[in-house]
Amino acid sequence: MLSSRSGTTFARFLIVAGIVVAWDLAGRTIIDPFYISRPSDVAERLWDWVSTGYIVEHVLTTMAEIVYGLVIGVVLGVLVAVILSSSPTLAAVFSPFATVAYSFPQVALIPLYILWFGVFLMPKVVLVAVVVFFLMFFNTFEGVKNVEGGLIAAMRVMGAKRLDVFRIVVLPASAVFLITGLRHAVPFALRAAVFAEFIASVRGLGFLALTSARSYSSAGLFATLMVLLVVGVGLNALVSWLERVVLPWRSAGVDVAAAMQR
Amino acid sequence: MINITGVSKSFEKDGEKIDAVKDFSLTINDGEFVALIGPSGCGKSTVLNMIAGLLAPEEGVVEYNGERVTAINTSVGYMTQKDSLLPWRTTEGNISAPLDIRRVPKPERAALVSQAIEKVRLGGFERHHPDELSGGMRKRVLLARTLIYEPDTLLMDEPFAALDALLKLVMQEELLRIWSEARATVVYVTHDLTEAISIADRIVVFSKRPGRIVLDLPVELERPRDFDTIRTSPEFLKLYNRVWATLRHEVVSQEEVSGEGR
Repeated sequence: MLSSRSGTTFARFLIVAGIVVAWDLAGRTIIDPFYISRPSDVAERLWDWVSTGYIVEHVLTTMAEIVYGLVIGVVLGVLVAVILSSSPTLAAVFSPFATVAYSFPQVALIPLYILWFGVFLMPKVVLVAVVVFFLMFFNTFEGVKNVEGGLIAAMRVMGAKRLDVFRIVVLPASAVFLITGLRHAVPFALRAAVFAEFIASVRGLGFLALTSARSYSSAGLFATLMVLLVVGVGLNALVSWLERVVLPWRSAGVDVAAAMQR
Repeated sequence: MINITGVSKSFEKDGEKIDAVKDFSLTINDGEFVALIGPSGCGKSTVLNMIAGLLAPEEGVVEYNGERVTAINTSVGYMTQKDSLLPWRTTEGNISAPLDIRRVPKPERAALVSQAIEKVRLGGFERHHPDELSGGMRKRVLLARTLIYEPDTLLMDEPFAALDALLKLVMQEELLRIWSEARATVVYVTHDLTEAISIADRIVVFSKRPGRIVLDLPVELERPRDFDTIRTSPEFLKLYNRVWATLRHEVVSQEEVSGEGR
């Protein structure tokens, strides 16, 4: 008898295999492969892209958009949140602006970014940065507020000076905000980058998907989607790894934001 | 000795000024175990916050050991209803936080922490993080953290209110056991009359908002108290009825005023 864990893995493998088989059968019987391609064609196309290195520049382009955008968005988001949360006056003045800007659909600004920054890397980086900025800003702002309510007052009564509060509460808490923020921001960064590439681009995975569709290559389109799947899962795994390194105390599945509100 | 003379403090809520306490005076002697009881929102927590120096009165004076409280009062230990444990620190790490702040040398720290852990019966959970502990265990960690730097006064704001009835009883007994050794002054806010009479030397009943003292009674029940029998003793019941008659009047008239039955 299988242990429940390897049983689960086996069940998952069966599901994936089932999807591939159903896909292949559908292409042979009821659906024209023109629309859904075939697993073998997609695999062939993927192998072609990987072996010739064709896919590399597209992956690197999209990754560059995400990474630059993330770095800018995270740094600015956390910075602004920390500044605003340290000054109630500034927070009162600016928070309605933040709410309005956040309610606005960021992607609607892509044409403007294209007008300003052209069709290469820059407009995508800007969109990713803006999207990430708001996620990091609200996450950090809320987090800092919670920490200030309970934890800092408790430390101050125990005799903590400014520097102690920073060392014992603020610094470790920032690591928590950073990681929880990234958890939310990274999938949105990927979405924003691909979406911006759809609007206007010359390279990248969004570009590849769109040009495949325009040339009626369903194999190319599905192959691109596979690559996007790998990139998405890979980025997520990277954040998980970072979380294990930076927050080793945090057991899987524990919601730290909730824990700090307690 | 804690001397509160003629203090007033108000808050703004929805643009309306609400008096939490008005012209409030109370003297608490060293080593006394005082329970503050009253309807919710009657300013009990405000009084604790003023003793801790977290809130400044608008009028009147709070004196601690003859000195006016103008900044955070680090001679007190404050245990709030809200859980203020650091989620990234273990049981040991959380309990040693005050020692860390007070620059107690590391070897000495370890000895004190293991003593404290023994005192609150958390042996075996030294390396656990708050998320891995039950509600009662977290309260024990908070209690140990509050006691470890031996503050002269313990301010406790409904510390066990979130626990179920049985666990609450256990924690009250533990508190009394530990208090009988430490002999600190305790100011204990609660809205549980049975709890107040069982543990305190003196009961101070607050009126509805703005809080005034409507009854100030000594509890002349012998210590150590046996929780199994004390609650059915004639003295206990007499005291209970006496306080309840006053308290009931305050709770009922508050509900009539605000119209919110709970």
